[in-house]
Amino acid sequence: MIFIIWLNENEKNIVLFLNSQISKIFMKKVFFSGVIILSFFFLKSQPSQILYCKGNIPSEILSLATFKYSSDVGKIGKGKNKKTKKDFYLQSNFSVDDLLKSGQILFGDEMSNYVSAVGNEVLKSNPELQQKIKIFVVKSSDVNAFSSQQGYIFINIGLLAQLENEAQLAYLIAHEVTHFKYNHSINQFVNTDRLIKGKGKYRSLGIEEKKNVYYNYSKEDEFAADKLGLTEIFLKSNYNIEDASNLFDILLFSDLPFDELDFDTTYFDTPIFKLDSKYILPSTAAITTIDNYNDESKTHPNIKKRKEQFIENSLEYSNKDRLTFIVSKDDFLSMRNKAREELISLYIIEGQISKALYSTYLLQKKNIKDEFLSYAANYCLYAASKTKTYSTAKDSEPKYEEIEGKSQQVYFMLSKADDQDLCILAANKIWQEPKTANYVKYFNYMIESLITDMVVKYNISSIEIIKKNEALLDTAFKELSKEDYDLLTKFDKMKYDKKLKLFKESLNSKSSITLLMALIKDNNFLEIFRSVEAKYQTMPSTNTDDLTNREERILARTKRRAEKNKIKEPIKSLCVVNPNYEYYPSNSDEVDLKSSEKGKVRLISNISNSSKASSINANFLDAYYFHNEDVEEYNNLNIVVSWSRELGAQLKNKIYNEDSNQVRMMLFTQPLIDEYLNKSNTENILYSSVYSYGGDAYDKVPLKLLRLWLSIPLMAVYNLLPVTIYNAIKSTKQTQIYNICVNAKKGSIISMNNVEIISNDYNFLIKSQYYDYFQHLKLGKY
Amino acid sequence: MKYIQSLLLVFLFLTSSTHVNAQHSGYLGKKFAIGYSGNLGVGLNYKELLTKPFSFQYTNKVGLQYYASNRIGFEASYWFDKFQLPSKYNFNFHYKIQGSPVQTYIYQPEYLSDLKGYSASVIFYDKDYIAPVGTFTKLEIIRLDYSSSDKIQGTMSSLFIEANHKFGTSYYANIGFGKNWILYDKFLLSFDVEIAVNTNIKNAKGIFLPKYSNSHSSGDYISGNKYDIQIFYNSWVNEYLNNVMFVKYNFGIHYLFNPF
Repeated sequence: MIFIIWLNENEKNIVLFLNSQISKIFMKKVFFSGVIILSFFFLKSQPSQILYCKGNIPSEILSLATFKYSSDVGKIGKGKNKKTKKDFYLQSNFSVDDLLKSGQILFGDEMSNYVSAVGNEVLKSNPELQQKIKIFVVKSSDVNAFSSQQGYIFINIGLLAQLENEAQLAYLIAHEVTHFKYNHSINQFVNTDRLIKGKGKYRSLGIEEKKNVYYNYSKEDEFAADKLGLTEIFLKSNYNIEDASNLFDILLFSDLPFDELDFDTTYFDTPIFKLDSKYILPSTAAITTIDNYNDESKTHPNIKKRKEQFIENSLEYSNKDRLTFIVSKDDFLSMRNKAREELISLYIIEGQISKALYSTYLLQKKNIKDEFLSYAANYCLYAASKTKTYSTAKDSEPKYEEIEGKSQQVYFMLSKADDQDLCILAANKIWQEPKTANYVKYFNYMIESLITDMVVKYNISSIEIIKKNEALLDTAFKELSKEDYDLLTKFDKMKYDKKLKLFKESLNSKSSITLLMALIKDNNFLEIFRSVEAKYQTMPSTNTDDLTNREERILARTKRRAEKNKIKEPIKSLCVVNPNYEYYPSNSDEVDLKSSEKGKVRLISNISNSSKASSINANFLDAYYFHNEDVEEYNNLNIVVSWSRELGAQLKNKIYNEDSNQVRMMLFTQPLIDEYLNKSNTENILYSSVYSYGGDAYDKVPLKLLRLWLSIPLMAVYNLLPVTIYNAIKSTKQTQIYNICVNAKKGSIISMNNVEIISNDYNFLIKSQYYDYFQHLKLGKY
Repeated sequence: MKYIQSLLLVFLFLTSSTHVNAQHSGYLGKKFAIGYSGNLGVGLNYKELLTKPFSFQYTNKVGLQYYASNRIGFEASYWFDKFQLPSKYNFNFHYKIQGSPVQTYIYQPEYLSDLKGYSASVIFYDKDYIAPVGTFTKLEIIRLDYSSSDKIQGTMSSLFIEANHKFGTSYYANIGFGKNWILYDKFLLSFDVEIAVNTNIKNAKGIFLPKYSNSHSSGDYISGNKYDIQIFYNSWVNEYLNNVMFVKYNFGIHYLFNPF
């Protein structure tokens, strides 16, 4: 694997969606729009319910990428391809640094300590190499691991969750270390550069031939890493060879959940309710993945080839006395369990609700009493219902026909379920769940939210449900109380039991209304239902059907003015998360990474000064701001970024009220963000980006040249010289500033601000803009 | 003095109006700036383009700025300088001191005039900038009084021109285009280019069709008595000022503060 980290398809869609939303809001074309503000933390950060970093923040995370780059460039020495190697170190250092500073890296915790211990074990025979390697766990659901030229090995949670034993982890580490040892990243970069430019032996190649060369080169590296990782590193340890070979199967079936169990089709059933068979797949699709797929246009050889090479290379080695676990089996199982729980969080964040629900189900089968799993399972149902009710985005989840294996049942159930049915099913499940202290507030919120949908969206009335219950009681058959039942004779009891059975069957127990009728009988549930009804009955109708077009326009205009003139709650404190700065020296898409990093450090200082001047308390969550003892802040960064990512996913799925700028559902990471907000005494999060363009602000004719042409005749008229001079001092550079302020308690966007100025990004310019924006927030004029 | 009072009253009114104070303007909350500007007027000598094409007139200014909103600022300034006309005419005076015969004196006055004045301006900052940062357009009314210097007291010149003699007053409508920079979050550096035109149109046309020459040319004699000389100077200085006021370059440094 080479260093490059890429966005997955889901995140690219978020970028595109928000681009369109924010363009609409600003009513004008915006180059990058507010999506960029959110997108940087879309990169990969996901939440941790249970995984927190500990100890001091490693220096690799805190130091500037520019320093790391300078240090690497110093090692290049003389020889060919020096410029390409410099480019490589520039890009690789900054990409890796982005990941390290993103908040999604784990360090100091039990999981990463264990993984490092396995790394040390497998590299025991090579202490020199051991010293150069540093292993990090990444909070990402991708089943992936990668190494960098700097000696960092990154292993995703998604992969750790799939592993079967320690030997597989050891071989995985050996593979990645081999990439580093033989400089695969930099060599491949140089070779690809030569390939693209058609240098040397690649001069006469066409595009297709070049592609083939590229893929083959990459595959050779992977083969080498497999082979040399095995022979030079893994086999020198005492790990079991056969156990390690199964790693390839994990990679082959990486799309599947970490286990295969039948999903219980009676999951939603109760004594009086049975899920309609139309929501149940009679049988799930078989898994058809093959290991001998066509790898022509792939960077890695197919699994069959890799397995065969592995076996061939390990033939002469005995597996006798080799161990599956050396560091600790218990630690491995604990690590994997934590990874699996973390994975559920990651899936939910990404909107992969069916996958999350199935994964939760798998773990609950083994550990039913875990309160986190209980919360996760119920949240999945809540989210599924909300998505069904409000989302207008197509394909928020894969279609069930595309899913193989036993998890297909969940996809089918959730996709086929009627909106109203799913709402009631979710409410019932959540209501029946024992509430734990940590999550009771959120369970109550979910219940109230689902009841709101029943009342507002599905027009269900408590009175009607109560009437239905009463109607049942009025029919010929009446249920007896226990005391009355005990007074019956033996034969009367037998007759009564038979009638009761028939009566229950006649209740049309496939209808979700049956569930609701049972729920309403619970006075606590009824109380909540009635309070929701009361709240929505007192709200004025927004029905504009009877208004003429003119009246509608007047009404809309009045509302907009009222909204604009409304003084809102002043903001006294906020959290500034990962402010972004990018510098483009010309109007091309090439960002100047070193200048951007310098600019970012300046930006943090400028925002800080502006917030102090406007008496707004700004708390910065950015690795550039941290010191090595700020591990709690690093964890907070992860929490906020995770929540933000989830918010972005909801925006992408359009589960969002455009009038109130608020998401329509509680976020899964809300408990975490609430904890952080309470500690930091703020409710608001600011996302901020500055883009500075060194090129001319006008594309068609360079502005300076245009001014020069105009200046010549102007200078002939002396008295117009001032105008010429004035034009000369006016900048042609451009600076764009984007701010989005979000109320994290409510999940609503409270302010969006976009400024484009024809000016260099002087510190004072940035400070004055931020001061002005903060003043707006402070005075409630947003 | 009356004018200073009027200017200050207007300024105070503007700064104290509630509407204006409701804006959260200024650089990091600093809504006022006080400081110094140097105003360099560069006049083009149309009649002497080959010999002495430019005249320069440097004037000091101290001013107080107030940023009423994100886009608008106000400034009140006091102008002051001594100026010397760039070249000399020969004056041929016939004078008589009691007890002496009539004499002719060829006089080449040098250091003659004081310049004092006041101005009030409205500054419009360009879109998306927040006052006082960035580029701006300024509309200004300037009142300049020019009088003979008190330093000629006791010199030969005082025979022909009284000390502190007020030659005249001119009003100028000034438009400026400039840019501000901030230094250390405390100081405002500004540069603008200005074009000012005498509000008396009859005087203004003299810029392009000058009556008087500014360079030395022998043989030019102005004859007459003291009263005639003063009239002549009045016109000559007026034309000179109109010329050097027409195109000006203003450099300033101000200190930003908020007294409240």
